[in-house]
Amino acid sequence: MIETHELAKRYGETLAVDRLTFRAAPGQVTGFLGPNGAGKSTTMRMILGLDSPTSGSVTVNGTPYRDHHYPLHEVGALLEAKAIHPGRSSYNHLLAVAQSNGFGRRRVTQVLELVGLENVARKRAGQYSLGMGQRLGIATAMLGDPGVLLLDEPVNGLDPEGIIWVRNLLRSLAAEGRTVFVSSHLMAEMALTADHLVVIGRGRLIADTTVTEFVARASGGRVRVSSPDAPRLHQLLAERSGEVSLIEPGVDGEAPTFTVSGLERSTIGDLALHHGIAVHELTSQQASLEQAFMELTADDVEFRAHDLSPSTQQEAEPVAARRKG
Amino acid sequence: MGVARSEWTKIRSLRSTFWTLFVTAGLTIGLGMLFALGRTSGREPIPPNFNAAGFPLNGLFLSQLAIGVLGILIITAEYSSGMIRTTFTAIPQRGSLLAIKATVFGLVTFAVTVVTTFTTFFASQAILNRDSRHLGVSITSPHALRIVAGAALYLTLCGLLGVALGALLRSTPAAITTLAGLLFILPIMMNFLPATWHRDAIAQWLPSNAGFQIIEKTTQPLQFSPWVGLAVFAGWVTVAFVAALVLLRRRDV
Repeated sequence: MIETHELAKRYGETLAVDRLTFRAAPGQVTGFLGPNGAGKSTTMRMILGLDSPTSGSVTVNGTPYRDHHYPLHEVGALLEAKAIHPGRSSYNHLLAVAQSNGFGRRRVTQVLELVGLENVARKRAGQYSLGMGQRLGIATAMLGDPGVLLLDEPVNGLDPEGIIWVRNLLRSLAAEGRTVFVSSHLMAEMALTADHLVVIGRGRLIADTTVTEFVARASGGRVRVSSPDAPRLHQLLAERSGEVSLIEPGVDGEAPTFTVSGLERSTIGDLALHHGIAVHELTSQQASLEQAFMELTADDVEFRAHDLSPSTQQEAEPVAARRKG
Repeated sequence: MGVARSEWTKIRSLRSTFWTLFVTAGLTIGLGMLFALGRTSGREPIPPNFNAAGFPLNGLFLSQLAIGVLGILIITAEYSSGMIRTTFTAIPQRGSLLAIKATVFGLVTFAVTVVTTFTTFFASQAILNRDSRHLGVSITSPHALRIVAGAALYLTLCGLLGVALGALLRSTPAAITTLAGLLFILPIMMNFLPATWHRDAIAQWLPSNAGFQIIEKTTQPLQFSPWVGLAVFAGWVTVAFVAALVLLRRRDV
């Protein structure tokens, strides 16, 4: 169990994490989502006692991390792949971490087998690929067979086979009753892995909900309608207080389409039948987790590429002029 | 105990450890033999109170830097690779971690340097004794044992100063620059100040000036006696460790 309460971190003028309150419960995979720079890694470092919060509190299994003795028995973490001395073999790296918390060589061999690195365990880590580094990081996190796992972007740099392996590993660890807390900016991956989502943007909590609810909330129950008599159906639906979009002309001889929200598919279909209007398409618009995420975090992205439209160029000019002067 | 074993695994599992210790030993022994050879070349007049045991150990001027850099690297390499986060996640008690790390490193360093300084002594005395004047002394002669064992202690303290500076500054180049500044540059800079500014009274307190008294046979005016000098140097190392401990507890990693 990981619990944060009003957790905040300030770097000078920037509030990297802004009064964040959430919990990651045992028995499920909690996805920690947010755009780059949203404060995910800062939050994870605070959970692990590496960074001190400016205010608020965070506990792991009810105790602040830095009060744990030999914490690897309870918590395992992967913060960055290849956080290992390039001249040291993965076997010796794991052995050093294991010994610090009282584990022996047998456990090192076990986790190396678990992540499939047993054949390269004596090679110096500087020669490892990013994917091998991730596997080594996961092995490090698994050393103490901990009940709580924190993983920062664990699938980065993994090949498709590795991604599926991580996904299944996380799911099975959660099924065993462990707390699995995984950060990612890959929404599609989280849709397949996570049960619960904690979404942040610019350090603030945007959503703390299940994956299903998160998607539903963003798609708002939109239905796509296509009909050769679109204008009449459009008007009828508008009168029934449905929220309707503009009609788009059909392409390649297809019927024109528009979307309706606030009305059930069945209501729309029955209404069309009642008025004798042909309907060619009637589909629920399910936003992907990706879309839902983009929609909800649109205002909270710290770094965004701007297109050079005339208006922004105009804004830029005075600055350039001032620099010249 | 587990933490000590872990730190020992970290130290012994890097080739750079062996190379740096090899360089430290090689420089100390090699320069010692070279200096002894120079004294026996016959052209050089030998001062009446020649420090036969301590003179060949002046190679420490160079080898102190090698061992200091190793001390720096055992901590800054953890910062540059990101390993430090794994280490602090495994041992959140940062103060005891630094203490154990320094102890393990200090024991390893002393074991290597004590063999090194004794080898330097016997090799250089053998060379000095080949001369018709028989300049060499035995290890049982006055001051010899103190000088040879003290030189190993001096090198160990240099290594520990490196550990403290590494923990304090967290960056390899910054720590190496500071180490070289404290041990080399500062004593040289003092020479450019006028003697009337109590220059010599101040200079005796500088880390390498104070520490080097341990290989002197006789104490000069405005210099500490051997053990007091080494204690002053140990005081510098202690101050660096206290500062490192305070910051280590407070800082984010």
